[in-house]
Amino acid sequence: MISRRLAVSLLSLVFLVTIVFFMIHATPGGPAYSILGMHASPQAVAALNRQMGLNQPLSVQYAIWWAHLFEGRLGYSYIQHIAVSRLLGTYTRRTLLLDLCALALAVLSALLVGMVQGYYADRALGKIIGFAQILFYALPVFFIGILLIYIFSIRLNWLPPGGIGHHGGMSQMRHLILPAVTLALPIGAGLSRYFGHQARQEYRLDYVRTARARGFSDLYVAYRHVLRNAVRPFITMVGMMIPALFVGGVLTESVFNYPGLGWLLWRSALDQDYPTLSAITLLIGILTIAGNLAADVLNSILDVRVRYE
Amino acid sequence: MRTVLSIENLKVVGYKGGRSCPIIEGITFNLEPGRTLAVVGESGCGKSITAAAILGLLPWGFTVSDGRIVLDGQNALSLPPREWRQLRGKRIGAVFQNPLAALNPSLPIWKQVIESAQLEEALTRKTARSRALQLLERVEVPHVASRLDDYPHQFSGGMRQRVAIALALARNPALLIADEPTTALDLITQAQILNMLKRLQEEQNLAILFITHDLSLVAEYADEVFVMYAGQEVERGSVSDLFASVAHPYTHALLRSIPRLTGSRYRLIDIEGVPPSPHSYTRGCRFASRCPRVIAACSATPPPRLGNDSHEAFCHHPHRVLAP
Repeated sequence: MISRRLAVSLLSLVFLVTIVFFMIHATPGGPAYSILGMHASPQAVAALNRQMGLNQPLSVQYAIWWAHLFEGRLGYSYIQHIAVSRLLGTYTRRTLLLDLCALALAVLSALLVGMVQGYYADRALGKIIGFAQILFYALPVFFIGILLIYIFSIRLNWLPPGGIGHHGGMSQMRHLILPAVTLALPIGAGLSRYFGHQARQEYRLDYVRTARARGFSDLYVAYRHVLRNAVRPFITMVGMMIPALFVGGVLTESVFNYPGLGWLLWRSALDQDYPTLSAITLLIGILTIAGNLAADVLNSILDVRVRYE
Repeated sequence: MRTVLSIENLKVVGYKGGRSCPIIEGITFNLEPGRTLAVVGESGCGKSITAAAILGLLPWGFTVSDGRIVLDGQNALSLPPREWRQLRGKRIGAVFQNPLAALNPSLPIWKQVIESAQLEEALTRKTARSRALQLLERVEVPHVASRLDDYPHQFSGGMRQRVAIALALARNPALLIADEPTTALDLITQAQILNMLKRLQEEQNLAILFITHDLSLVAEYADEVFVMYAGQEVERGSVSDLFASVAHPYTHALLRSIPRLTGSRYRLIDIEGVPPSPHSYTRGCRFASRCPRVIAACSATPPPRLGNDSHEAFCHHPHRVLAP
């Protein structure tokens, strides 16, 4: 089971690397024009192509692309004048910090809200939660971000409206809160809707009635019985939400001027910084594949039936 | 003799869209230790709602509006919810119809069997496992020592129902509510499980409330019969008295609809139609529209009580006249 899942992940990785390779070559006029500008002389373009190896056959370039990846060489940013691999480190760390905070927030609130929704499914509270989920899922990230900045930074003056603060400590924490909440809200709404539905289905099953008929309290039945059965499909769902985290991250980081991968992606797109863009695309792709793999492995550890059959 | 369970004039109403309608009403019976009372009727007659009311586990939208549920001499309806909950498992155990879904799929069976004991006292893993083993041996799960760590999906339906019975009886309750416990099982497994329940009943002086739609099981396994139709009692009596002189046309029809393995095997002498829905209950006899012996009085006035405490029926035009 796990070996098959690993093979699928590896195959996705090969696809990803290949697609990003062709993406670079599909840029208008080729990389040389984007470095030298659209009005560069043909001689200058030819010289640069020779220098960068772009005059070699595509298959050779493809092999070189793989070789460089294994060495961790991701190219050179002609806009920022720095090796992309060195550029990415800091930005990736910041984004991982923000995304993990947002994901933790989204998952915890989804579990809590989902259990409440499953328990109260037929009553008013369940329906109110259902409406709130649709609302928050549908609201665009930049709207939530601006609204939160308006309330908590401008009106109440509780939290900074953007930036990252000093490295480490309270200042950095305070700068993380608003972007993390902004990013977590739609994802948490989506996840809690899914999990609430799952919990509701579990609550209808006979083993819940068996547990209640044995005199177990509602709280005990909820965490000992319902939660652990409803959580397994939910873990897969969390894995599938990882791309949404990065997409939402681009908007969130831009709104809060938070210099992470999403912010860098947005800047490099405006600057036509193709080496950086393709490296970020690659990185986000790898993180997505790894996240889904981790979710599936965790799932197979929790689900006894996946292991036995 | 002291009763384990005494239901007095129980009424349950259901609410929908701001309106309420009665689901069951006027339900009265007693159950003594070591005895089995069979509650019989078609689907939708209120058998399971009666069981849920006794357990205090009525679904959302249903509530007890009248009557008493006396357990161990105290009215459960006047207990705070927390104390009523503590009666479950300890004084009342319950098994339900579908054994395939009755167990938690993600816990090995020994953990489920020992769960209630572990909530009461701290047990070492070794003691817990040996106690689980004893509980499962009591319900005759074969090769149980090697199967403690197995999960529910690794057991057959019959075995799962045995495990479910072990869960229900883990704390030695005085009363077991068995809501169609063998309906989903084949005939041989059904007989094995009911015989095992009978043995457990004799060993522990257990009172069993046996809910079924199958009258053929009643003669063999029950001491008393309570026939329900459309949320009301139609006939009640000891097994010997009732089967000797069935009075109510509904009981009569239920008896005739028992499929027999001899003769015309697949012909099922059934009753036409279905029980009325609670919204359309009338003042008169609720069985009138399906009754082969219907007379003018049936739909006009509620049927009178006939007979005595050992055998009673509510009917305008019974098959037999019961002595008062």
